[in-house]
Amino acid sequence: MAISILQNISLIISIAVIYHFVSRQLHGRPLIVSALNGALFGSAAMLAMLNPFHFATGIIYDGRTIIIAVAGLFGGPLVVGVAVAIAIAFRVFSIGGTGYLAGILSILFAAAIGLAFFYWRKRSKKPLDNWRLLAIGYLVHIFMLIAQFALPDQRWKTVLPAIIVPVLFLYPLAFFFICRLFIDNEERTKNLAMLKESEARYKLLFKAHSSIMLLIDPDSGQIIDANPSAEAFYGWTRSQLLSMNISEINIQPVDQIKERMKQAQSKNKNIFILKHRRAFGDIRDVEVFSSPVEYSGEKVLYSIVHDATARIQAENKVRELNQTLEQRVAKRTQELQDMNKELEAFAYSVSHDLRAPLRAIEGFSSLLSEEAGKTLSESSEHYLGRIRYNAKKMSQLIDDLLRLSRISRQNLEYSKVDLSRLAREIAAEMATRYPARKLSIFVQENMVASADKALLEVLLRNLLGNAWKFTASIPDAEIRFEYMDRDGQRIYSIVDNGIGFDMEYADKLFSPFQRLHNEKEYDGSGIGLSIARRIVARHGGRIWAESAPKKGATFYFTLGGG
Amino acid sequence: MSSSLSESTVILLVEDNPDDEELTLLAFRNNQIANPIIVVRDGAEALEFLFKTGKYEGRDLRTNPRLVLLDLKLPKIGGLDVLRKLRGAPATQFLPVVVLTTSNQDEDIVNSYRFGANSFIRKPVEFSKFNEAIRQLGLYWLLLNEVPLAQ
Repeated sequence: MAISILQNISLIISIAVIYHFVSRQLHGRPLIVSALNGALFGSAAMLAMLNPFHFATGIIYDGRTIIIAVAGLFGGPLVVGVAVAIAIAFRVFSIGGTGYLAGILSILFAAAIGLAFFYWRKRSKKPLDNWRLLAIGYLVHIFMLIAQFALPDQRWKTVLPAIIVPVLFLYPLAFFFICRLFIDNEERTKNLAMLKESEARYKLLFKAHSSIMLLIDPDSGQIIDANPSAEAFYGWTRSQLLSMNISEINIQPVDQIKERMKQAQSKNKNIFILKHRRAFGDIRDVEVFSSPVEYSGEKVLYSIVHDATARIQAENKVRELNQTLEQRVAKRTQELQDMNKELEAFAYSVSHDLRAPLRAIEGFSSLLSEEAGKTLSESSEHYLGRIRYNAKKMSQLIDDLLRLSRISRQNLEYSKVDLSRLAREIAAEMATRYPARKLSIFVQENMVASADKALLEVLLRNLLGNAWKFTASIPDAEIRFEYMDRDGQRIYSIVDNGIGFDMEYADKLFSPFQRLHNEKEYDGSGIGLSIARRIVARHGGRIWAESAPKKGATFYFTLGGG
Repeated sequence: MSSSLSESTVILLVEDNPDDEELTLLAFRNNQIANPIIVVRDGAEALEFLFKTGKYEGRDLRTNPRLVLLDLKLPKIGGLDVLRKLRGAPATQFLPVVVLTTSNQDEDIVNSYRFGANSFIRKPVEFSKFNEAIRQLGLYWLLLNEVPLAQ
């Protein structure tokens, strides 16, 4: 009996091999695979039954339970169904005899138990460990023994003692080893599938991607693989590329390339900007991201290449432009400095040379009028007076012009300036100078700006002075200096209720020597507001005015960033 | 000794403009300032006079000035250079120098004081004011002000 079991086992092992071969070859057509494997198991059961241990005529013992249970456990319903059909048909029609019912029952029990664990395994996803396999083997063969009660004439009484020892010791063990064989095979198939999948993934990541990718042997520089994007970019076919060394592409000297590759191996993240030669004969600027990776058990450099020619050229151009810009700025600055110097020299010479003749005109006219005063007619005396007046006036104009030009030329020194305090000081000074004037001046608190203090003082002196001057004839004169914030900008305003001006001439207000009121009534050369505008402009601000005749005037100004 | 500054009465006027020269002399006369006035017409001549070189070599020591009225814009050597040189020489380092000029540019005023001017006066265009300026200047520098003995 033991020998026949061994024969059965070897039979099943060969089935296992064929089973997996069929499964692999006809992968993707599960119905045909199941039918064929069912036939295989059925034939095996048949062969087992042809080589049995004869207990008596019509009562045989063989490995069919093992075969059928394995078919159920690993093949599933269709496989075991086909196998059971063949096995039962063979048992009934070819062998027959008194034991056929017990034979059929043991086949059905084995199939049911195998199938039950097939489903259990599918649902629980738990592995079939060794103890579980042994348990199933025992279960199948306990049921096989139970099937013996179906023998006629209570033959079990003699059969059971004869077969119980081999059935309970040999059969489960045989079942166990065959199952292990199937499980190992299954795992192998699974590993193979995983390998295929990883290969497919590699194909997807490497071959199908539009980035240019190269695998390079870090020691020799040999190209190990190149993707189609690399073929398209470099203009060499994959097989050409695979016969090439990276030094044929990278235009750097070989030792430098070696150095780079050594560096790339030691670090995980490497970005190089290089020049790569192509089959087309041109050289492109490329950005190479290189990482060491494991490939078929070897360390290789996995490089992704970006064609950065356009960008690098643009960058170079920007750099070039910046450089020429710097040169141009330096040149312009020099020109401006020269011009400024020239202007300063001009102002200096104006201040010295233009005033000297005026002094002579005034001086000698004055001496003339003194000496010849009594002998001169009234009109001659008047003419001399006009000459002297105009000489003085011209001298004043020159002084004003020089003041204006000085404001344009002098450097600003920024500090925190308390405009409120400055305005109050100026107002107090004016009040002391003209104690007869009755007027109220309101200055808003906490007006602080970052500005040049000296220039701001000139500005406020001019604007407050104007307000003071043009309210002289108003009985309840009032001047207000305040601010408002509009659109994130601080706008200062100096409001008076003086004689005002016609808005038609508002644009002339800030030009040098423009007057809107006659000189007799209101003195001054008309430079004050030009100076005010220049001061505001130097601070990056703006000045403007609103008014109507006899309705007072408002001067607004901003101080740029301050 | 006759070389003492305090004993000298001469005013050295450094002025290149003949009109200004005439007006200045007139203003002194108007104010009855009788001190002798020696006029030199450029910076080089001023230095020759002060250092007794060139055509002023061996000039009478009694002509050593008690006061220098110095214009800034001068032919050959400018007023500021004259000032610097005479402040550098021991014989003239304490000599009172009043800058009397046309401009009131900041840089002129600052540089004049930097190089050792004792005073800075801008010539007014109006002759009556100029006259008054000369009167006060004469009163102060020739009568009130004391200078050390020359070395």
